This record gives sequence, structure tokens and C-alpha cells, in this order.
Amino acid sequence: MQFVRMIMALLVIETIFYLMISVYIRSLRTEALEKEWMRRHPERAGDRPAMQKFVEHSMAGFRKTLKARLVGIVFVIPTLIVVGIVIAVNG
Amino acid sequence: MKYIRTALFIILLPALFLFVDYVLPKNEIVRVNDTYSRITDIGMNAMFYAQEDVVAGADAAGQTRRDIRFISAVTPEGNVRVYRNEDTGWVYPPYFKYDSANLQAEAAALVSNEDTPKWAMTTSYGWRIAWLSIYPNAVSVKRVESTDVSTINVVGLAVLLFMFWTVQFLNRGYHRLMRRSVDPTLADLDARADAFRAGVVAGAEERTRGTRQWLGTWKGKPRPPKT
Repeated sequence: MQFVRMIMALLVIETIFYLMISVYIRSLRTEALEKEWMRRHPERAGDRPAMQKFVEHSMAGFRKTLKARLVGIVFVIPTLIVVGIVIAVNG
Repeated sequence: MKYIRTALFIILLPALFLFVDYVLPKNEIVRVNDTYSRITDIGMNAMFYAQEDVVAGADAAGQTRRDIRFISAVTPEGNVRVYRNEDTGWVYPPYFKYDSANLQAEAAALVSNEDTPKWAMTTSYGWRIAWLSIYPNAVSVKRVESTDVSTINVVGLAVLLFMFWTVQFLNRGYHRLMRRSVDPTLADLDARADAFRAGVVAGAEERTRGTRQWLGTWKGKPRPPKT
């Protein structure tokens, strides 16, 4: 029973971190894209709608890329840590 | 706002430090003196002992009597250390310790006296506060050859570093969020509010013309100035 409680608490925390890190990675990529657009079109620096369109198109398949999927590791690592602790402490 | 932040820091940082100091493991080199079990009353200080789900037994008064294993030891300088040796639960602190009987046997095997000491490295977490009757929980007891072995706890340091990294990540994320999403939105709202206000002022004359005209009909008819 306590074991179940721990698993549930871990899942909740993992999900929160997963969401936060996902948003962060997305915003990193968006900012890089914006900089790239500014580099390509220095004369159109104030043209926000065009820049947004460029960023939107480039971000279209982002959820399926490796970088976005790697964030899923957040779900695996705590389980590994728990197993590691159990083995190390009860040695 | 700044005062609220300062006050929060002053309250939260020591609490955080105490929490971390209680939960993270520390190593100590000691000579094990004795291992024993004692039936102990646990009342108000139950928070510092293992949770009830792990060990059964509670009576009506809310006090529990439990059989708790102890390890008493002496440091090279002559100070005494008393540890308890209890299984931790699955929930907290996350040590997942279930081999306290084994640990007791290991500690008993290392009992030695002052003339022929067998030094041991204990890993433990928790505090020894005598007036609360709480003891640190020994997690492992391992034989070491001399008292010069390093007592740096790698795991504890790693956990601390991870906590620092998490705080830094959250801080960076917060500033990033402010800079990229909140500030532009607020600036946009500001600009719109300004434009609206300017529009109100500019169009006021136009919009109030009808009313002013009607009010004007209550004044006297325009008369030529008296000469």
C-alpha cells in the first residue's frame, strides 16, 4: 500500500517536471528559430507576423523529433534511482 | 514586494537547510561499542521514527511502544554516538531500508574494545537530540582499516548538486517565461490601453457635441452686446 502511494507521488512529480522541461525545450527551439529568421532577413526585423509564420512552420513536427522525445527520460530515471538505492542500501 | 520576498527567504532557507541536513546521509568513523534492543515509548517525537505501517503496534493513548534496535559507538576522539537501526518505509525518507536485522548483525560482529579497536564507517541520517529522544538512523556499518579514511559522502553531495541544479533550472525557466511571454503581453496590453485612452480624449469633443448643444439651449439667446 505504501509502495503504491510512493509510485503515485513519483508519477505526479515526474509529470510536472516532464511538462515543464517540454515547454522549456520548445521555447529554446523557438528562440533559435527567431534568431535564425532575423539573421536571414535583417531588413525585415519588425515584421512580426512573417516571423511568426516562419517559426510556426518550422515547429510543425517538433513533437516527433528525437529532442522532444528524449524528455521522456524523466519518467525512467526516478525508477532507476529507486532501484539503485534499494540495491545499495540493502546490500 | 521586496519585503515579502526577503521575509520568505529568511523563513524558508533555514527550514530548507534543516530539512536537507536531516535527510542526507553522513559518514562517520566510529568504534562500535554495543548493540542492543530496547522497548521504547514513542509519543510526540513519532515524526523522527519510522512510520507505523512498517512496524505494527499502537495503543489507545496514542503512544506506541516498539522494540527498536540501537547501536552505540565511540568516535576516535572519545565522543559517543548512538544510532537507531530501523527499517524505513517506502515513502519517506527514501532510503528503502529493509535489512535492519542484517545491519544489526554486521554491527554486532564489529564490536570491539578500546585496546583493540575495529574501526567502522557508519552511514546515517537524522539528528541526535537527547531531550526529544530521537536518534539518527544508521543505514550501513562497514569495516575500515584506520581512522584516516575520507568521510566525504558522495551520494549526499550528488543530491545537493541536483537540488541546486533544479533551483537554477526553475529560476531560468521563470525568467524565460517572464521575458518571452508575460512581458510582451503586458507591453501589448499597455500599448492598447494607451491607444484607447488617447482615442477617448481625441474623440471626446466629437462625441459630446450633441449633449453640449442641448445644454447650450438652456443658456440665454445670444444677444448683441450692450453698447
